[in-house]
Amino acid sequence: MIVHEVITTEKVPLRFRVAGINSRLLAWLADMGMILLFLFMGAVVSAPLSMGRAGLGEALLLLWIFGVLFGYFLLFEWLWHGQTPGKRLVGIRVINWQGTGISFTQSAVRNLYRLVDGLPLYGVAFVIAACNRENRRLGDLAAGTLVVHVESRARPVQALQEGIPDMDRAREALLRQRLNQLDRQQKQTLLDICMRRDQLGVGDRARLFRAVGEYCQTQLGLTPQEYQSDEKFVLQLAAVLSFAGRAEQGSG
Amino acid sequence: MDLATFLNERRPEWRQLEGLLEQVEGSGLGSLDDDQAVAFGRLYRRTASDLNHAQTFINGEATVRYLNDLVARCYLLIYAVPRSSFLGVLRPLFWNYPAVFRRYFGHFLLATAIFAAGAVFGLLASYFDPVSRLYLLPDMPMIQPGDEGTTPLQTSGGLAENISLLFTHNVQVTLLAFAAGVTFGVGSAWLMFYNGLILGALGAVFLQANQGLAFATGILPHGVLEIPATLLGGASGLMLGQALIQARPWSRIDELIRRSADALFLVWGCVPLLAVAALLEAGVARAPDWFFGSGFKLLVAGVFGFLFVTYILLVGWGKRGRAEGVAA
Repeated sequence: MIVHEVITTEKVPLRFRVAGINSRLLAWLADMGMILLFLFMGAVVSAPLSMGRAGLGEALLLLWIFGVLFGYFLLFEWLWHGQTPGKRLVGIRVINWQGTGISFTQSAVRNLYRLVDGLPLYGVAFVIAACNRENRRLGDLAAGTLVVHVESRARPVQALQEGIPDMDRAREALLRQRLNQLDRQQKQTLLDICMRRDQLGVGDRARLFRAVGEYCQTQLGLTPQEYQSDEKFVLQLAAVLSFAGRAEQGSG
Repeated sequence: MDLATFLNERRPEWRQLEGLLEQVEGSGLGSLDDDQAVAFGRLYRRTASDLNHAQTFINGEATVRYLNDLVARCYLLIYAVPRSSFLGVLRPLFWNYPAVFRRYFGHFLLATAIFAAGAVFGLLASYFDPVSRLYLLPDMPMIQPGDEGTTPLQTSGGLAENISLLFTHNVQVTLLAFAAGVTFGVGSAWLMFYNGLILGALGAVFLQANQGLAFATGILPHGVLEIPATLLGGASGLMLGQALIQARPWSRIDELIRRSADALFLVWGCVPLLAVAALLEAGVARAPDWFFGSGFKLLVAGVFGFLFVTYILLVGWGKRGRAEGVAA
């Protein structure tokens, strides 16, 4: 995954995950579908008009086609903070190189360049996007923009249990001692699973927690308490783990 | 601070920010009342600082990633360029445009020169070697000068169709001339030359048939606006080409970005020009001679040419001639 890092005005480093050619192509296909729909709507509306007066319907249709082809990307990306319906579907967004929203001029520049980018079946865009780190096509380079992944809605992290959950000191000491055998990466994974448990599907969630639980049982020689599900067991480990940090910090 | 305490202490504020953020993303910053706006700014700054803290001290990718996405979404909205109304975009466009035009008049002249060279070449080739017309004018080999006088008047519907067709086609050609500038200007120069070539070759056809007046009345009423509009496309393309060739001391990309805004501003002017030109072409230039006399057609050409030159020469002195400030 390619990451584009910007420093905000508050001096906080923000990391954007750069969108690859695949997701952009997917968004483009969805947008093409939308454009075809718009054109079809125009044709349906203009057909009865040209029955009334020959040529009038065709005149409006031509203007409509022109407006849709040039205006669709330009207006959507300007008004929807860098997203078109297709981009929103895929979960990607056009942003300024500095991480802020794009202006009207930027949207106009990057979409007018489609005339060149799209020349032989978007060949120019493909070659140029393949030749730079952030997969920017010519229009992106000229407008100073890039396309990144964004979460459309927040996926909140779950709180871990506060305080050591009910277990005797002997068990807590045992868990703490055994958990120290894990390396840093494994500890992080254990915590991440617990915090992001609500973002998983039911099946995945059960499978993941069972796998982690079994790993801890076989590798660390720990056993769940009576009637304790895999998830509860792992959550208990995570609770102990997250408080172990304080002890280390205090001593160090 | 350890992870569990950090999460438990800070999570309520993050959730609050999420709620406000969803409202702003849906209906804009303006939809917040005073208290909410203050809260949004405060929560954003605190969450940004939490992100900073988490990146350094907290174990676990999940927290950092969640905070990063949250702050990124806010950052995008808070530091966006303020959006002005439609009129707010158009008014500076009108008053600033001639200044930008004059600033890049050299590029316009160069585009004109290339166009003229193409026209002369086309004229000579077509005049002395009629066979070449097959290649120069492939779409119109059957033009018979002299039959304009008998064509019937168009219906209003047909007229409207012609206007749309001419307008959309011409705008596309002009925008292509702009975008083709990224080939270091070669593409734009070629398009200018080619357009001149066609005009010249067509002129020769009429000249040989002793129909010079018909050619003038057929081209000039809209040509006085359409040809400058096409040249604007070429000029803006040449600006991009120059930015790529003479980028030092900046990188080519940086210079291209800087120049694209001005070039785009310049090429924008083609849209109103071509809209009027399409009206004139379909309505006046192609009207049969028994309806509008040659004198009237030339008068129209003169009036619109005069208006255009006056606008370019007289309006907007004292403006800086930059696209800045219009970019909303």
